[in-house]
Amino acid sequence: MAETPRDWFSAPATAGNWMASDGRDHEIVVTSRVRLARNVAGFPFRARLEPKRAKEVEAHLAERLGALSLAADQAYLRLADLDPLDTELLFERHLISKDLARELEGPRAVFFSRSRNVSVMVNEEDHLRLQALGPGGNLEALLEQVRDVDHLVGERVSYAYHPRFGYLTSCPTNVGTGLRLSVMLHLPALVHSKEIDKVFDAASKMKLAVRGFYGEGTSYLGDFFQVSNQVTLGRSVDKLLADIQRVLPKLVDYERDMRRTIAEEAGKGLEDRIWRAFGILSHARRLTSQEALDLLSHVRLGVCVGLLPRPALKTVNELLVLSQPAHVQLLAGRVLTDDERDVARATYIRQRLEAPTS
Amino acid sequence: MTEYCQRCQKEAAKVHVTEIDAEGKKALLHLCEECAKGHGLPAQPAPTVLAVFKELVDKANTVARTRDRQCPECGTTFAEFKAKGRFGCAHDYEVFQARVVPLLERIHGASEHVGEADGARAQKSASDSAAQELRRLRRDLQRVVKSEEYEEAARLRDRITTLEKQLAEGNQLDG
Ligand SMILES: [Zn+2]
Ligand SMILES: [Zn+2]
Repeated sequence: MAETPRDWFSAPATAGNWMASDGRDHEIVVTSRVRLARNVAGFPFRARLEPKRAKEVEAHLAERLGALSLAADQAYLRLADLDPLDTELLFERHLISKDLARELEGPRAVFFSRSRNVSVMVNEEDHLRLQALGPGGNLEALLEQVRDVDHLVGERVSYAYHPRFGYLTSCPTNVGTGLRLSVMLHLPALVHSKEIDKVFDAASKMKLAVRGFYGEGTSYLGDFFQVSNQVTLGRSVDKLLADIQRVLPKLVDYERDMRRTIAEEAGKGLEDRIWRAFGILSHARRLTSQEALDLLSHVRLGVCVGLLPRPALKTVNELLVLSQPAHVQLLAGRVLTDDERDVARATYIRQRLEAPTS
Repeated sequence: MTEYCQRCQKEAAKVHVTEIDAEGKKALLHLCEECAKGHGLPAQPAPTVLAVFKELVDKANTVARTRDRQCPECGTTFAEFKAKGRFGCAHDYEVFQARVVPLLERIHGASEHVGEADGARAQKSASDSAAQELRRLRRDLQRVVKSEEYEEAARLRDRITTLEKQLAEGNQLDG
């Protein structure tokens, strides 16, 4: 193989591009993702897919996806051909799911284009998971992008479809449209003020799910939350989009109000906390990824509310990506032990924060 | 030396919890009492499929204990689906339809797909499903009007008009 994810993701300056650093609501709406779940007609689903059949599904899709002309930089990668570090890099860039990277077995692959921010996972929980990723909250554009890909793939692949139930999926929570619209929100003020429970309650009432940093089945990290539609059946794609778009501005306003309130009323307390986070990131000699994420979350808040004069938001976004384990090793240029990683992470962050130009 | 809380970096750490961190490895967290309280962030608000499912199945079992059917295509039984929360193949939706429909109602508040149909398939089954879709759209229209979702109502009304026209034209050709 000529190029690997390692080559693509080696430039630190581009690491934060998938997170918003300008535009509307960029200080709260970090990134968005739209995905469609599809299965190939005539093959059993994942749960009943024997190794031989799984190989057939992969070969079937490799041929058809490979024949698409989506973008000049499109690539089809079999996970079996990838180094574990490359697989982890794809995961840390949210191009493949945690399940595809770590949990599932058998032939798996990802087809994607970096320029279009589109990726198609093969043999995830469903045979196909098509997704588009982008900075900010532009779900509409991402939906259009992923629908284009869906139509292109649909011309070549016969999808499992039922006139009553729509697109059939392994899990009944995805059936119908197979659509998941998710937006990653940075809600440190709501967490800090302990208002976040209310958001969870409200979201649940509005049939929205709240998930962790890496999506389904992952924990809440650094005050980042993925909000997505829970319902996929009985509402059209456009209706689902309208539903989530109606709620998002409310969540954004809630966080914004709370940021204003805590910046004014409890200004000193929050200010202290933000500067402490900045201080530790600037001086610590060892940082775990969890700690780095928590501290960067505070620094991000500090930059957004104007309490910290530097670093630039773009730098914070870059560091959020680059402080993840596989990226730390990518920067170091070699595989590191846990201990070495914590030291390398702290060193890198320190250097980036020391530079007065950052 | 006082060990400081990892979260606020201000209070003395008094609570030590082991957690699986982002890297999937075990990490020991040292937190102050205040931060430890906040640390156990709220649980997922959405009931898991399995939980919803179990409740539903338990209910069904008390009403009638039917013999477990098996999908002729993939061999999945309902009990298996119940345990995993995953179907074995596309046919399972029909094989277990009687029990799948209430489950879908519970998860989605609906059991019928609305909107864009699969391209190739849509053409094939367009004629026989148009009348069915029309019925469904009319029902949806009543529902959204009741809940005052006027934008959606307008969209549905347009779709109904188009379908009615299509059906009328189709009938003329047949006759
Ligand atoms: Zn604390
Ligand atoms: Zn089956």
